[in-house]
Amino acid sequence: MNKDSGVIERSLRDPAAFGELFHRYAAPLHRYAARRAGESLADDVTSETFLIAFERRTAFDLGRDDARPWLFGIATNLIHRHRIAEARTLKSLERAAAEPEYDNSRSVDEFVDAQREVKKMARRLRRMPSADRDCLLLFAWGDFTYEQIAQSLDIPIGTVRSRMNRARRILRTEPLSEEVHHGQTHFASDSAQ
Amino acid sequence: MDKLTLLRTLRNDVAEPSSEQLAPSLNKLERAFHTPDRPKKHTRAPRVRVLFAVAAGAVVLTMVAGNLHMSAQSAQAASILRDAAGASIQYSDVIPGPDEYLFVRTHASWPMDVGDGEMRLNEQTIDVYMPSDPTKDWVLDRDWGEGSPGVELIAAQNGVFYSDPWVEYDYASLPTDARELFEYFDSRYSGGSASRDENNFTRMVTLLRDGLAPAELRAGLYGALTLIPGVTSTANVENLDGVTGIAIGHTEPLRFGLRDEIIIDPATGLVIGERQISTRALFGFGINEVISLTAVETTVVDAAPQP
Repeated sequence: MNKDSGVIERSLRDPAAFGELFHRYAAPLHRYAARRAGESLADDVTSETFLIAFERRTAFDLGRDDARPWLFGIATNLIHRHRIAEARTLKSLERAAAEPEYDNSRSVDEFVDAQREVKKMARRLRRMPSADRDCLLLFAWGDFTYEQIAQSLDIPIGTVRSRMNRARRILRTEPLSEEVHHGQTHFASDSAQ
Repeated sequence: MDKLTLLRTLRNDVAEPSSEQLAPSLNKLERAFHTPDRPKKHTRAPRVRVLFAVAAGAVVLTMVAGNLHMSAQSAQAASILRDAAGASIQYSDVIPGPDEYLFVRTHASWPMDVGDGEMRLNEQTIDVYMPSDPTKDWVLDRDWGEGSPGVELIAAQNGVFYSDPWVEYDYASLPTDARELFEYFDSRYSGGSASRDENNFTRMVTLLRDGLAPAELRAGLYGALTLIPGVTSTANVENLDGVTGIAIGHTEPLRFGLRDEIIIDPATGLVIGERQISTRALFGFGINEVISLTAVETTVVDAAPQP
């Protein structure tokens, strides 16, 4: 299979060649956006991501074989415009965990514990600074390496490491209390509550 | 379960979308390929939009109003392609001798992204020198016109001028029988383009476009094109250098009537260019306005420029 850089290079003389990137990555990118911000928004994010990428393809670094970090970086920036939708998606996950549909494959205690963990996790994710959440979700849901995350978000790899450390610490330790005060300004909006 | 594993399970039930669900996004993207000025917030008006009118005197046979007429045109296209296939075999290839090169010059006028969502036509010349022994160095002498990097001269083994070989297919691995070629492409359709027919047409033309496909394969491809529903012909079409040939094309209804054509010299069966036209007045294009146009010339030369 041709490398992504080859596809983009070819699209400079034959714009339709760019469609190959859509066929390679639209589905996983859509799923990533849908997991973060909901299915209805994922359609728009996917569409807009590829239009922006096509317009900016002359700026793509042809030394990079893989276009996935570039595309997911664009999608991540677009998701930022929809923080409320993202918060609403995570909030709905918390609600679903609070009102679970019991499946009888596990004991009731195990099931309740698991749901409590999901609820905690969703809340901590929602309340996390968006820069940390971007790194964490590109890693966990996008299956990106730290280097790919750095490319994707256009930040140094050391910054990725520090954000990942902070994000993991928040996931492990942040209390569940509703009264927790957050000074940062880049949280997923609470307005969806 | 550790936290990271738990995180990976969150919303893991969200499935990848179906191709039907992605179709509107793909359609928008494909329209952008052919739309010089994508409507954008805060964008300026396009600086220049140069379009070629359809060559005067061209007899457009493909604007049809009924299935019966379309069938007749398709039958005519099939007949023309059969003739071209016969001519390909009859004239065979221009074959370089030892230490000679097969030289293909593509003179193209393609829309170019000039930033800020603006497009305009840009002329390029792409000279490819394929040595008689294709495992030796090929040479690319290219003038990008207004595009970056301007002018470049590259020598590369197997024609890998950039990251991939210039010719994407191993000719020897392909069948040459028309039906087998059609099935080869049709069975490899992976959901691209606005329709299966359009995608099959595009991939076959990609193989012909370089002007390097040997005569037997070319003849097979012409036969395979006739097996794509809706392929029709247009007589007396000029390429970018003013050489006239027969255009064999596919008009895609799901792409607002955009028509892609390959232009053939019916006397020799050689590809002499490509054309893309808008058959409907949409996206700023009038009926039969030419969106892109090329000329392809294939000869043998005894030397190539050296970088």
